[in-house]
Amino acid sequence: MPLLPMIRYSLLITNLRQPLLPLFLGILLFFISSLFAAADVQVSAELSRHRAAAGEMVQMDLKVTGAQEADVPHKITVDGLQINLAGQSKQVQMVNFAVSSSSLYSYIIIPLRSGIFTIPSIQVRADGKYFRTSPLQLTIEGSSTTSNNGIQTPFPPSAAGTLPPNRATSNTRPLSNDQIAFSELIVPKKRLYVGEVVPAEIRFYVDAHYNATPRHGIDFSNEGLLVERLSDPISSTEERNGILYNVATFHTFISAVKPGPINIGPAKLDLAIDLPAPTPADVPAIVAQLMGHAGMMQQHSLTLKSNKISLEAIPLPSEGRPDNFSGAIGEFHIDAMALPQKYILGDPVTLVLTIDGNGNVKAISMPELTDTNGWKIYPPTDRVDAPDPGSLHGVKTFEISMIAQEPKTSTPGSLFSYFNPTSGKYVTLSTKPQPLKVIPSAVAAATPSPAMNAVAPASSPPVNPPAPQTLMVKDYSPRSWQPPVQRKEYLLATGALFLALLAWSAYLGFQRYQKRESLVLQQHLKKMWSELQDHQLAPDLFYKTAVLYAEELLKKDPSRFSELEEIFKRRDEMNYGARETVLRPQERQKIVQILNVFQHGHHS
Amino acid sequence: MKWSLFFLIALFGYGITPLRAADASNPPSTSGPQIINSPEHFYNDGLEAEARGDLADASLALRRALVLNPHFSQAREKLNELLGKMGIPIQATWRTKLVSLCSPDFLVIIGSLLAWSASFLVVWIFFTRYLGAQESSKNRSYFLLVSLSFIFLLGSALAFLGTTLDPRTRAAKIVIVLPKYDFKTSPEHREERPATTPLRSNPVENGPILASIPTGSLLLLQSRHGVWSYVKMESGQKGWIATSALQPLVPETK
Repeated sequence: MPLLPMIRYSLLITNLRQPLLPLFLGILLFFISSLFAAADVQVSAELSRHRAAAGEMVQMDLKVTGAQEADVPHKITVDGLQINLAGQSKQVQMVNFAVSSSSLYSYIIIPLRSGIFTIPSIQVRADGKYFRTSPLQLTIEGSSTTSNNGIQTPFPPSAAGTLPPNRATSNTRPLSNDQIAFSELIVPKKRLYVGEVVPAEIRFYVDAHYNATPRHGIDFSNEGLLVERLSDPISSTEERNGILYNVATFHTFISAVKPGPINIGPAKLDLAIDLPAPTPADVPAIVAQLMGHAGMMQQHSLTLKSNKISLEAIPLPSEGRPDNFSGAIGEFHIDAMALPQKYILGDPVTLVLTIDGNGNVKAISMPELTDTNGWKIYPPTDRVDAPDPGSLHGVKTFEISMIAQEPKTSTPGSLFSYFNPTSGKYVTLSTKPQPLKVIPSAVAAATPSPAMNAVAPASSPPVNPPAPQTLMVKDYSPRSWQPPVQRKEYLLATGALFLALLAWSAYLGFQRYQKRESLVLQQHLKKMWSELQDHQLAPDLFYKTAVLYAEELLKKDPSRFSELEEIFKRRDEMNYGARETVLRPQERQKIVQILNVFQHGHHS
Repeated sequence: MKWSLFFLIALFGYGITPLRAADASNPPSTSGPQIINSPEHFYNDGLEAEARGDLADASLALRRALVLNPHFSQAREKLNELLGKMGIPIQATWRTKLVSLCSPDFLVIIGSLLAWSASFLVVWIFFTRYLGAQESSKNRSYFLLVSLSFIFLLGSALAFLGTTLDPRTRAAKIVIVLPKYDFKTSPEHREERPATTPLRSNPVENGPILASIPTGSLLLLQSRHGVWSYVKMESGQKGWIATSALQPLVPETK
């Protein structure tokens, strides 16, 4: 419990119970007098971080525990570092009735250059005694551009351009806009052919110490050029002149649409960048530095403009230009494949032409087909596969569906021409006709194929109409227009089967029920029979059981009542007559024998 | 048990036997009165129409032949050839591919037999082997019941697949664009059908044209309203077309 609340609590208790006041006051005085005397003085120093970049400030805390007063240095001298006392705070705490107080002295360390520095032990005088801290090590990374007195500010006070002026200090050196953020445009070729696709790269550099957010998209419109959509940015870091930059790299492809000189760029990007806010003039420099790094940032606009590049677009040579050249520029090769390789006459065959290479793959047109006689060719479908969006490499595939009008053993061939910008010459590639095999059909084997006769154009009747009687199929097999499940025969059969299933289920269920009843009856008879075998059974019970047994037996065959009539008579005589209730063993055996004869039809 | 199986087979024999021969006496309206519904007949009709130079009519006849017998390879080859000449794309759907592998009738019959046989066996085993049985034999019967239930499901699935694959299931809703001969556009009085028929957004003569449908194309009939029919193309586009320009894939019986 903290000291002050504890005192308040004590006084409250005292008010409530006046007679105990002297006792509480005594205890309280005892505590107060003994608390601080028990504490030992301890001095320690700690850095907010042990590694920092040039230009970044580091905080050092000097902690003095257990002393009423402490005398600490206001400035610590280290070559390459400026260390000044920035503030002080005091803390009092009580643990297990032991009260301790500690004073925290905050120093700001401003690195003047990079390197590994050792902050020596600091001498502190507390309660009349001298104490020393342990030495500390601080590493400053990156080279620092320092002025005469060496202080590098995080943001230049006299920055030009769109950045607002910051408060000028006599001991700072400005960092220009170009050092905070800049951009580059890179094109590997300065001389390109019209239509040739050339990669281009735009890089935006922003000092890694600042947060920057793009306000709009990249402005990279150029006249006389076709520019493809920019790729997604690739992020990286790069150090230049000792400053670490975050780099966003965009890839694109450009191609000239007309010959002549072309100026490309600049690529522009508007950024919102967080920079330290200006501090009031009456605030000491060291406090301003502290505030600047304590998060008092202000957002500013910054427009990045890349360099310009001059290109020269030259026309494609007219010499040696093949007739089938359709604008492909780069380096390619072509493959052909036929699917399927075995076909039935009349079925479509697909010729797949694959053009693989580096260049304007998307602009490649359908290669010229050769030897197309006897083929009905449909318009092709095409697709482009680019495995790497930042690369010129791509694959364009054409799929041409065709139907043979006559038995053909090979597909058409193809011719593909392109211009190689490296050699400056046109190249013509060709694919051979792909071999095919015609699968003979049953009708083709038996009779002349109807397809063989059907080569006349659709708009006019055949010059020599085929004799239909030679193609006719003589054997007719009548069929229904309805599928099986919609036919009444099927529905009738299904309904009958369903009823049969129900009837069969009922029959089996009834059988099962009867069997179960019979089983119960048999068990009952068996039990009664065993009772009748018992010679100790009382006469009245014996006759009662015998009659029950006889009744069950007569249910199966009532016509044989006369065989068992004697049992009923004797039971009546016993119940209603004056006969004594003694049952002799011979009589008992006779009754059992009658029942047994009735059951099995013979004497046991 | 034996008489049950005999009963099953006899019933299905009754159900299956007429499948091929029935309806043979129903003459299609487009042909003569003595013509029977057989794929061979329609195939011959197709050859005759082709000989006349009427490729669209020939394609209709061949399509009818293939509806009745999807395995009629001669008709399929001929139809592919004609469609190629007419410039109509040949679309091989999953149904046509599967039908070429297995007969829908066979799937329906085998599936039905399996399902019904399994049903009868399930009932028999349940009443005679499962009820009242001891624990050890009850477990065996239970396993048998589960297996037979699975066979029942398999048979039902086969029958369903056969019905789905059967082109006759959908044929009633399919129409072919087959406009009548246009003598006005034929100066030489040659009998030529118009190459295309307009698909309109409204059922009126001067309604906006959505598409021009090549003669011989397949359409799905949505509804018929007098002289106009609302149809759906294979691409999914719907519109109105003159009923007189359509011929049903399944010939109408008189």
